[in-house]
Amino acid sequence: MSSPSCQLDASCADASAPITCAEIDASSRPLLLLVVSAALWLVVGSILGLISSLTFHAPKMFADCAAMSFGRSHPAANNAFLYGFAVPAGLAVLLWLAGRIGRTKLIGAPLVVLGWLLWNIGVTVGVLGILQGENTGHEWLEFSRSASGFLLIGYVAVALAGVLTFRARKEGKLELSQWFILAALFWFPWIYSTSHLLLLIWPVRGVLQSVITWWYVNNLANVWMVLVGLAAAFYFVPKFAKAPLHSRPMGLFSFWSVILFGSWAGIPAGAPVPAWIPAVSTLGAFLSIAGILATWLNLSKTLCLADRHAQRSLSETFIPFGVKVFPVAALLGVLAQPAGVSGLLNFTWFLPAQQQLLVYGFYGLVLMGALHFMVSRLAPVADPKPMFAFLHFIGCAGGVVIFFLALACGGVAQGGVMNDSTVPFLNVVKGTLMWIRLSSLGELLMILGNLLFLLNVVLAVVRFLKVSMESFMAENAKPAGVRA
Amino acid sequence: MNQGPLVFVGTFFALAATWFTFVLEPSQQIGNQSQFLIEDSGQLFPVKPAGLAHQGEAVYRANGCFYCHTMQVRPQGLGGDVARGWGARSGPVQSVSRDYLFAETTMLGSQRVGPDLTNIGLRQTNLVWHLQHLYDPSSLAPGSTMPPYRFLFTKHTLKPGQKRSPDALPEDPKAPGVEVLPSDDAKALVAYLTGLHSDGVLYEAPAFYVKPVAKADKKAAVPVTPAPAPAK
Ligand code: HEC
Repeated sequence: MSSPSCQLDASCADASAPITCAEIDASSRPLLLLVVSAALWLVVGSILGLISSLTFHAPKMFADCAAMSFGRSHPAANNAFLYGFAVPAGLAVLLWLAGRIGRTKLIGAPLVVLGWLLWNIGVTVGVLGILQGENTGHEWLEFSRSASGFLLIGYVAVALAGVLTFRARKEGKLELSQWFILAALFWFPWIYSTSHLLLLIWPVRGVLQSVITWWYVNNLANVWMVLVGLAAAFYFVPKFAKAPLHSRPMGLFSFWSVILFGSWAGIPAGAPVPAWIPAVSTLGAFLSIAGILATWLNLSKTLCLADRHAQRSLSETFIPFGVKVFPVAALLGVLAQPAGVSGLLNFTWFLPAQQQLLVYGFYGLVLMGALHFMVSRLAPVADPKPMFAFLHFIGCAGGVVIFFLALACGGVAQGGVMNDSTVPFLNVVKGTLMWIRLSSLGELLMILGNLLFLLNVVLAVVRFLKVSMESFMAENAKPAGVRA
Repeated sequence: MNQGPLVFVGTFFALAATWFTFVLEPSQQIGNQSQFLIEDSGQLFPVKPAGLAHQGEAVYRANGCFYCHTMQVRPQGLGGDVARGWGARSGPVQSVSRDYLFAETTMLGSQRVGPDLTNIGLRQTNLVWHLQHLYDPSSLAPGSTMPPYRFLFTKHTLKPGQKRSPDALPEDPKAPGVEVLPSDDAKALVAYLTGLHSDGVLYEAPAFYVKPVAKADKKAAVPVTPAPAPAK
């Protein structure tokens, strides 16, 4: 194989290692199930997202179609992204990295298959449920009780395989990425089961529900996704740069910062909860700044060693882009927190803009980059054409940048006029329309990017299956030929 | 050295810390709140919603109204909530945790594509207005981006001589002889909306007017006596 990224495997093929990368990758093939379904849900989610934005182009479009109305298609889109794509894609990368870094084969493949099945049943039931009006009323946790039950068991099954693989590692001392991997594997089931229990099984009353939802959302976006994204970044960035990470202690500092302060931010000033809660939240947000800056410095110092002129694979464009987006998205999240700014920006389109930048611009792009790398190893086929790679990147990266800029500007403008009570509310509404419509352009581009991602993954898997089938047939055909 | 246990234990404590702070501690503090007896009027606040309004909450939830509407009014001085007339308390504090005691699901909302609905039951008491607005928002608010909820209504052509049902929406001059009837869900939803109000004088949201501190800007000093109707 002569694709440029292939040399990147060199560091793994340590002569003393009793196992080769190829063997690890071969054992990891069940993870392709997670990747294919994630790519599919990513496309489904972005199309549902576009459908929900149509409300702002033609509000009457779905007046007679409950399932497609904004209040249903919008949460369906978000959940398809979060639980269809983000979590399973993250798991696939975590498990593969656990094997690769720990120099061990994937252990517990049947668990992965079982977990994948349960998880996807859960997502399907959940998304269809939302479209039919089964919404729990808690943002990011809209799935019905039964759907989230499937998710939880599915996650535990896959993560168990991850923990087994992790434990089978050859070295006691952990590489930096492994810290992030282990924490991420445990983080999700705790936050998900806690909020599931306290919101759906024995629901707490009143605003406690909102406090728990905030806690969950911040844990998922600012801790879990950041852990997974950085696990991948700290693994790939040194590979791309062909140099060790700038500083390991700084990387460990990032780790502690994420898990200690990541989940605290996000409860806005003025929320109808005891006043210390938003105050502690703001404090936590500010404490996380040092960690964000350290992560940025560490990764960019390493990245700048990479050869700028070398031909780059898809992963080598996606991951560095996501890595650059991370500090921007994370710092904007912190800056929106103090009361002065929150008074202006809370409840505006700025918040979805920042959120999309984090979960798609950073997390989504890093993950897509990692998955491209992974797929090209698990199902080795030729690299995509340069034109394809270019369109794919422009779709995803250009799309999210347009989406973010449009809604962030729109949000700031909206906040200003919303707080000016002399402006009639309807004028506030009309003032945002231009920005929202512009953001739909970004959504269209992201759909294009997501479709190409799906296409690439599916083609790779199909071609690989075909090749394996043919060689299998050829082997079995020989004896028959002898007999004849 | 095997660092696995160190990472595991560290992760565990970090998680436990956020869990204690944001799950356990708030539950201890406000988990046992109860209705408050307002001494002046001898009434209890918040009021338990009636059966129909309770059903309406489920319709509100199923159709995701809370993705466009918040149900939380920020205190005087933070944003323009009070100036827009979304609050109903005369003091600086507006929405407080006790207001949500009887919500089966607390849907504070996170975006204001439409106005805050905390006190819509005080602002707009006309049931027919609400039904008409749900059926066709732009007929009452030209240029509204709120989607019409026609699927919560049924529409038929009246036979010659047939009387309009008393439930029917006012006749649309552009479509004479057509009758639009709200479904049970639409009626429940409107009962829920018209029942929404957070105006009880509470210990944590007193009625007295606290003068804004010196550095507060002009906006914060807007008089807080009964809020003006929202500018339309
Ligand atoms: C796409 C966003 C969106 C969704 C979803 C939405 N609304 Fe609205 N809503 C608006 C906008 C914008 C306005 C302001 C213009 C108007 O009055 O129509 C509004 C206004 C209102 C008003 C009048 C508020 C006032 O102060 O006069 C009520 C009541 C209302 N909506 C109820 C609902 C209910 C109930 C639902 C769910 C069935 C819902 N809305 C779903 C956007 C939305």
